[in-house]
Amino acid sequence: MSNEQNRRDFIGRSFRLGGLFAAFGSWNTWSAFNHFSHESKDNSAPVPSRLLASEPNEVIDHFIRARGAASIYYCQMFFPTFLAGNEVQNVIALAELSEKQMGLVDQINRSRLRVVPAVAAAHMLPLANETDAHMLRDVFLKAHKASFSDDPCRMALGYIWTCMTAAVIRNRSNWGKMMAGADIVKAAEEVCLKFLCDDDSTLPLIHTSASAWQFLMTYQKALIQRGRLAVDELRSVEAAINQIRRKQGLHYSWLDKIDKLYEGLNNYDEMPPEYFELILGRCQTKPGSPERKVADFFVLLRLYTMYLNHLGAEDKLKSPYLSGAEVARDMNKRSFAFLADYGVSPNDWKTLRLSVGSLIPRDGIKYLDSIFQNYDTTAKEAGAGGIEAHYAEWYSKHVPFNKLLPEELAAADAYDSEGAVNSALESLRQSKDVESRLAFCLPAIIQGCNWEMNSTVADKRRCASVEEAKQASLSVLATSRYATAFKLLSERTENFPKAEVVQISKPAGFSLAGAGGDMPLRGKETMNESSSENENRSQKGKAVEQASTSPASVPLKLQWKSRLGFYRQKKALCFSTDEEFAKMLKLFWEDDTLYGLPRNHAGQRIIVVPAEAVACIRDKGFTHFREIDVVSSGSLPPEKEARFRREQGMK
Amino acid sequence: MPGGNENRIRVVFNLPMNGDRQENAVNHVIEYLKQQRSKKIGIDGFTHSEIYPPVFQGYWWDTEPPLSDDSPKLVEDNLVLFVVDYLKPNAQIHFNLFGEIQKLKSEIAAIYGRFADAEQEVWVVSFGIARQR
Repeated sequence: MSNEQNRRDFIGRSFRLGGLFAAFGSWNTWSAFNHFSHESKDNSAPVPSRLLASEPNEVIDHFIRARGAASIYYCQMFFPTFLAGNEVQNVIALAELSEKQMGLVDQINRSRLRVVPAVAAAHMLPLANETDAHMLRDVFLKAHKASFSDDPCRMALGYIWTCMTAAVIRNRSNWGKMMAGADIVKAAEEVCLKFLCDDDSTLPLIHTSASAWQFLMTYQKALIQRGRLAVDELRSVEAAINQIRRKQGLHYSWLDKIDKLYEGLNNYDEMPPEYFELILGRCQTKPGSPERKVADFFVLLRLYTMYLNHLGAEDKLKSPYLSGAEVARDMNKRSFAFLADYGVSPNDWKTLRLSVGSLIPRDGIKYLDSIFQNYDTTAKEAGAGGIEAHYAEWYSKHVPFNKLLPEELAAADAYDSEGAVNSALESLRQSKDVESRLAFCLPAIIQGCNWEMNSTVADKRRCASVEEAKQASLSVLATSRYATAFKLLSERTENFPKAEVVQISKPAGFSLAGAGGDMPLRGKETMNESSSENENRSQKGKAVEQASTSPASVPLKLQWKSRLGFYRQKKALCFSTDEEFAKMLKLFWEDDTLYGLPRNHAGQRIIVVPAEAVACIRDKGFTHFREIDVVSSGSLPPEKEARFRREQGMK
Repeated sequence: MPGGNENRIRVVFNLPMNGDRQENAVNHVIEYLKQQRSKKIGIDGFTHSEIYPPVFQGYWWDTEPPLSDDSPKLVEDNLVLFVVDYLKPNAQIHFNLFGEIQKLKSEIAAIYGRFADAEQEVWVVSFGIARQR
């Protein structure tokens, strides 16, 4: 067995073991997924930081490039800094830009481009006034119509309905006030009815209709909770649901299973995320548990979709929703790699096979048998074990994404208190200006609500101006208590104001490390793990090391990532004298801040360190060294690498 | 020429890395190895494990009886592992291969003596390998 196969086998086994030890009781405990592994922080996916995009081209770029779990993550979170308030113009900007780029990308990316405005519109809906909401629904329906009938594309449709479910459960605010409107509800109904029409050509709509059906189920529950406030909307949703139930048909059993999943689930906390997330989190569930069974059902649905793709690729199934043999084959590869990366193994198939019943025809089972019999080869050819596998554990542990960072969410209660905010603001008023481009999204994500930019910040914070509140949020998050949130959001983000670590007074209700409070953070993670990339640190970052004499302030301690390789930017420092070099090495071993700094040596008094450590080293009084950029050979064009090798006399 | 094998001698050695002075020594060993390339003694590259934090740990028994206790002490060493694949001498390059390896070992000992405490023993091993072309 090759190393690669060994590795994948190991990954698969690890996940399965992880699943064995995870225990969840009911849907109420979905948040238990979020018990983070203390040891796996280095696999933190970079996606959260990319949520901070604020320009249409950035949003589109991230969205269409995302694959696997990252794309699901975007569907759920979208881009809070891009849509922080009632910014309908941003949705329009996205629509215009995506239209312009449509001719420049391949088919798969075209489907993504097409849906970006619809996804933005879905997430914008709960924030918009009625006039704008009308326009947003038009944007959504236009994209839907294009993908459903004008130029059929089930991938685009899948995203659209996945995002509608995601928007409803994005946060409690959406749950309580998002109004999709009768036309959108009708569109969901049409998708499901089309799938149920007993014509093989619409079979490929299984994934799309499952997503649309999930939206209807979820939205219905939300509307029921609103009582009299949403009677008309509820009526239209229930009419759609009843219409679909009445239609029945050969394929209704798929939707029926989903219908049953929602039985007994009523409130926001009980709502399962859209089904891809369930598959992502499957490896964290206990075999045999209700959660595993639900996830297994959706895995089965994905496997059936693969079988349909296979039929399409073999020209045995004709459908306007299949986009040619090549795309079908490509989609199958992606689907299989995705399932393999998230721990679906041949043994799982053995178990799943027993529950197939009449859902998948005999030929489909044979096809899937053959895939799992050649699991290693198929997974390898599909590209499993790549970057997605690297982040799989991180993603699986963060399901559901809309309840991201539960500890921070709980801690945000303290931030909600006027006293805490005032305390933070008071401290900020005395400190230097803090960059705040990203500050909007932090409370948005942490508090689970979007901030209305056009008014004062939020009801509970009318006392604070927007600017001050932005600063406050960043500063509060910069304390060690909020290190995880800060880290997740800042990690690998260019120009993130990481160095802007300010010490603030300890607000009431906060417990902070170093201030005698309990420290709920996981493992050795502290905010400074991502804190000092900013060049400005040399001028401003001394706060990190300042142990304030005030009992209320919190000394923050630098902590480095465990490996040099985990830093994207590195610098080689070339020292001119042996004495200076030896002195610096001594400091590395003795200084509290620099101890643990990962580094490498290149001989000739050259040492390679994370770029963000340079300012810190300078702060320690070392200035007589030359900085050299370090370039990874992986980022060099082959011809340039070859030239370097030649110049260096390497073969 | 593509295809076939190229016989080499792989030299593996472990350098202790337990403090700033030994780290300085490691830096000088790297420098020494880099200098070898131009000497035409069959070195055209080398590999080492991460310097800091060192990922290898070794244990050995200090068999020299200490003054107060006769039982040997188990000593823990953080180590940086080096791998150098020497070309074998051939028609193009002539050198004393095992003499060079011995020189390498002596140089490492000298560097450690100069920058850190002299090591009792630097573990250097060599064995033949075939590189696929």
